[in-house]
Amino acid sequence: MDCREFLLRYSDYDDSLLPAHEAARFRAHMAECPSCARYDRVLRKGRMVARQIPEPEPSPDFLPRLQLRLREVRSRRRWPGARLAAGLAAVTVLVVAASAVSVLDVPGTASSAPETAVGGATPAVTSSTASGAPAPPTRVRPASASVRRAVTALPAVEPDSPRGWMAKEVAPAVVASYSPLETGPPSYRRRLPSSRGPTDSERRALD
Amino acid sequence: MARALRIEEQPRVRTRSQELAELADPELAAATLAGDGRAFTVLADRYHGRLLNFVHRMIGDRHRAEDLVQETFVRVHKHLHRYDQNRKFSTWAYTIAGNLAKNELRNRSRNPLVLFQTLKKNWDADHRPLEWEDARNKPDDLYRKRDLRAKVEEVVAELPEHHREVFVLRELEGKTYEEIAAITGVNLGTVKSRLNRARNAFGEKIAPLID
Repeated sequence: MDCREFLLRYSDYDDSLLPAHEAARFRAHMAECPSCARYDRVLRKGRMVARQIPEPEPSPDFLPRLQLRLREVRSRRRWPGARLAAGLAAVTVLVVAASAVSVLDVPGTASSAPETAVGGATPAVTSSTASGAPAPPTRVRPASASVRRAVTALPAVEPDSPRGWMAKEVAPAVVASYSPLETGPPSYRRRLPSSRGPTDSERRALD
Repeated sequence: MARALRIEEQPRVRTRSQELAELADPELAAATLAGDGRAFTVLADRYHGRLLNFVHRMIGDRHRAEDLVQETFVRVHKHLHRYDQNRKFSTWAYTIAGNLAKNELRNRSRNPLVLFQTLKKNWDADHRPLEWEDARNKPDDLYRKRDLRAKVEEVVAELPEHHREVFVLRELEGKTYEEIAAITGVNLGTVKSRLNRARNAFGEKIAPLID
């Protein structure tokens, strides 16, 4: 054996992976070669010193912090869409607000102009009155300022658009009499004593 | 009248924690999956010290090493349903910890110059011939006066990353060649080759200090 082979296969010898006769060759070479003998000595002692290096101690709060993190991970797993649900709820509210404002803002129906009498309604609106009787004069409540601010960027609803049919079908008296955001639909409103109830004429129009 | 039992006669009541501490790793993993959170704490307690030592030796930063060991356990917990109970749990945990340590080192070497130097160092470590210094050279007395353990620790930290990993796993953590191959994702032959080179580099640097 020469020093080159000794260095190349030293790990096998050091980890006792060699058969007995091969290990004997290594020992024989070390007996003849002071350099390789020193190599073996240095590595054994160096390994011993390396194992004496103080190991870092985990912090006392390592396990409590880990438990806290795992609790957070578990709660996020239980409600994976919590944030998504909150976002969707907010978007839904905005869409409802936008729809309400767009219904109020449809041309020919109760407009957003304050205190506008709708006696001389456009033909589209007049035809929607089921009985054919002239629509009673109505006082139009404007959309609240916050709702108007929220939907100023939305395009106006065209009568022939998918949302426009809503404006045509709904009787102007109904449109004028309530806003879902402010007083709720008639059936809902009846349950709330504090909300303004329909007048007799309005109730007759609804019937 | 019935005699009251003396203390030594009373049946020993073991706590749940004591019961869990006696379970093997696969059983603790199964208990965790069944919903027993304390089982995972016992598992973490069993390995967090060893993993901290391994990661600390890899990256050289004790506080960051603790963060990475925390992250290791979070990932183990998240993927526990995928754990193959026929394999050793420690091998799996060490694999995750080792990958996190390597990512940390990679992120540190984003600087192109640092990256080039690291790549060159790694290439040299794998391709220069194995060599050993002349036995006639005497150790420098100055080195003798320094703290030997601190110097040895420095030498380990200066090994190239892929050599340091196998050196720490073999020499400090006592892992077998097969375990090291599973943890590092390389074959047995590569593990042996890297370990041999790591030992050669380690011996060359500490020889003046020791002998």
